[in-house]
Amino acid sequence: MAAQANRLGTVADNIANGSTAGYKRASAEFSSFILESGVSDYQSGSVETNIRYGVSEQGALSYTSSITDLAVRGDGFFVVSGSDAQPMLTRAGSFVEDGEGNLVNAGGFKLMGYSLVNGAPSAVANGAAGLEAINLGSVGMQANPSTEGNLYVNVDADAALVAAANLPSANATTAAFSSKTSLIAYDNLGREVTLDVYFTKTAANAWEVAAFDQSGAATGGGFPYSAAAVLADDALAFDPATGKLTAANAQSLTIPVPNGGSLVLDLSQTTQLAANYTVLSAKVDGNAPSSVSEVQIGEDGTMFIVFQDGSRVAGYQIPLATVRSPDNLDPLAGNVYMPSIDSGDMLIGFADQGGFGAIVSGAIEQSTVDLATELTAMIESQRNYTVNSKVFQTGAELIDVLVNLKR
Amino acid sequence: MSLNIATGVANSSLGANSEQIAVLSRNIARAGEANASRKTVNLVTTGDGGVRAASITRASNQALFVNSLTARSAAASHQAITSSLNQLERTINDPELDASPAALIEKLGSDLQQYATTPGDITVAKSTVLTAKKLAVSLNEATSITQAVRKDADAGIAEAVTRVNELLRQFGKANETIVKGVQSGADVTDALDERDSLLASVSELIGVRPLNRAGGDMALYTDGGVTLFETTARTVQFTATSMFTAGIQGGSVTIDGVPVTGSSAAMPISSGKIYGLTQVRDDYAVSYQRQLDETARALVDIFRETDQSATPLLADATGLFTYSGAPAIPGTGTIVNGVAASIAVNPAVDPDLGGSAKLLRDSGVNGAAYVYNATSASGFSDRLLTLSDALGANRPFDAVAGLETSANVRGFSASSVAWLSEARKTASEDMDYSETMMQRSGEALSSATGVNIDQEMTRMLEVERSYAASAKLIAAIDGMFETLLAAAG
Repeated sequence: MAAQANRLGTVADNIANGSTAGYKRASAEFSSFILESGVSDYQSGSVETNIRYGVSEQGALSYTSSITDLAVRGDGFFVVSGSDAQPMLTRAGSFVEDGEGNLVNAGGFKLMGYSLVNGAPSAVANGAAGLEAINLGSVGMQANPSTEGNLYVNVDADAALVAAANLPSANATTAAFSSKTSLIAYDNLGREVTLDVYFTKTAANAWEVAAFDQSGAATGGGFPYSAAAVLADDALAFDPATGKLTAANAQSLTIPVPNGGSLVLDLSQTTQLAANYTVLSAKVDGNAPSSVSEVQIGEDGTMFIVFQDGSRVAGYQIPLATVRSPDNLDPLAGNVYMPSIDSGDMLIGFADQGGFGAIVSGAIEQSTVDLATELTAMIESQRNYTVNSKVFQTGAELIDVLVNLKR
Repeated sequence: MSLNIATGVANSSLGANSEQIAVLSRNIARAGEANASRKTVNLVTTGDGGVRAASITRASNQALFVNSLTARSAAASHQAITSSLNQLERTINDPELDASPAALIEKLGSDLQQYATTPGDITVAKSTVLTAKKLAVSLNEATSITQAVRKDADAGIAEAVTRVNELLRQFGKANETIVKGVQSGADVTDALDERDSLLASVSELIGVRPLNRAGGDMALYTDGGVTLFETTARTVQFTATSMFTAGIQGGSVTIDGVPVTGSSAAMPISSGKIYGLTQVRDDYAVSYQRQLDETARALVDIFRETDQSATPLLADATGLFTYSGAPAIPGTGTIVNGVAASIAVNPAVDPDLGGSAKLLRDSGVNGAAYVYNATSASGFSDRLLTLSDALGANRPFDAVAGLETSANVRGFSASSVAWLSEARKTASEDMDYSETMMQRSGEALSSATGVNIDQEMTRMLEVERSYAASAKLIAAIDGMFETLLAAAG
């Protein structure tokens, strides 16, 4: 009867946590307790209860509208820490940002991760070293100088020739050019630098590309630029047969951005065909300093910080942990588990790698409790309890009979 | 599958259906808008067999969209040219009213002939001078209308440039929303619609070529290849000219430091309202003004007076018609800007200003040395006949006027009228054609990406059915739990 009461207890817990995210259902397993008995007499034993948790059972994912709601599809657990900074495991991923910028789940546990701000994380496979609480507030204003980009254009093969003295690279007042485009690049402090890029035909199939800082242009734009604004120039030779840059020609232009890095501008797909000047592709990396607009979490657990201007950088990587025997984890209040002797040690890795599973953003893992199963278990326990009480009653009646014999 | 999961699945279906209904209602609400595109919800199956709305996408067709932009730019430039040429045509007036320079030159010719037959009739002399005055005034007015058209065009360019800068600023905002939204997976379809609509507005002013970049970003270049927008908007600059007279050139529009209109344009634009207005200001109106100036110069030249002394010492001087450079005679066959603006009848000949109309017959406006009729004979008609012949004689005209270089002044003036009519007719035909093109390309785009109410209604019925079925499923699961609970008693 005590065993059935235990079982009812698990049923009650399960039903109560039927809607708790990341809850793994508990079950009472029984084993018989048998006393030594002879052939002719039966020593009645009893039943022993073992409480099991179906930790490894995958719960259904329910999708939400919050990006920081996370779920694991697979075997891994999130590493969280409570108030005592002890790393623990959980599947309850309904994280929200608290007042200090930490991501905290419904149980009050902080999500842990590796910071990517200073490069790739040095994960330790069997320990929580290097992990820190993910703090969105710590990723403040960030600016990235431009270092690479591309500019693919078609220059008009029939453009007029420009005399050597009037080339943009000579930077004279009389400078002439065939085509011009401008690109936004960023310096070390994230200031926007507008680069003027001129394409000028110097001879048949020969062009000059020259880059200037627009802020140094003459009044009203154009030549001559101030000496500091003259950045780079190079000759381009096109193959008359294909209209493409010749293989021998440099495929890129390195532009020293004022107060910034060296911008390698790829020109490899620039062509010279008998068509109007057309920009086919123009792109320069880098971003201006702007505050965090929102976060975004990839399947591999990389947390991207999206800035106000739309650019994004990887801020943290959320690791996943697992143990050899998840079902033997030690459950604690708040849907967290501690590795125990039975479960084996914590192994830390990343999502999408070696059996840790994938992280799904914008979803939470539902409780694995199935109400119908629990109700059925309840009915079964009730019947068992009733039958047990009948045995008890019968025993009591037998004793009554025995007592009456003596009178 | 447990009952709990079944409930979850039915629930997810309800959620997805309500999302679809929301998008359907957005579609229907915007069905009448020209730039609205049809939006659809993309559904995906979730891990537990449920369904969720993963994203919202819109119908788009880049090729048709770019076509419609091009057609819009072309139509806008032709509209600007046509409306300005219509204004210029007012200078010709109704030929029946005989108030145009060409008609008045004809009338002056016939008046002179009549005066030559009755050189003693002072009434005819006065009426001839009156015709000459009307001619001078009509040339003055034509000049002021032409310059007003140029000034209007210039002001129109300035307004369009301000508008382009404003549109580019808004374009930047919409573009930023899209870039950010695409990064974070938000619904950016409305921002995309807005960006397209801004792009359409820009294309009416300047011909544009959009360049799609990674992450939903877009860069804009003019049809000449100058950068208009790349991460940030480039500045479009223009300084309006406050006063236009013949020979004054208007300022040029610069984008990103590169002049795109005018003779010094390195990478000129070739469509849009700004292009059309520039054509009017720097081309049509300038040519027409030159034709007026050449006509006026020829008139001043024809009525010149020559020293009649036995040994001529004095230079030729202006006669009936005077102008700002009087008494010197403008050079032959070379344009002199501003003659049509200042041409007037010499006050000495004008009876209204105390002059004598008889000077037309006798000459001598510039003094006794220039008097042709030395004896003041009332029957003297030689000078009048010479003048009448000169009106019909071929003379050289400057080629910059864009008409024949050798013609009589009557023919030249008539050619000018024909030139303007022809230009207007061509522009009007071009406008009709480009407007038709614009409508057709707009219709093609709309039928490819626009909202079709019938389709939306059908979709709505489907969604309604699906919603009802899911709700029914939830009711059935609820019934099953009831049964179980009753058993648990």
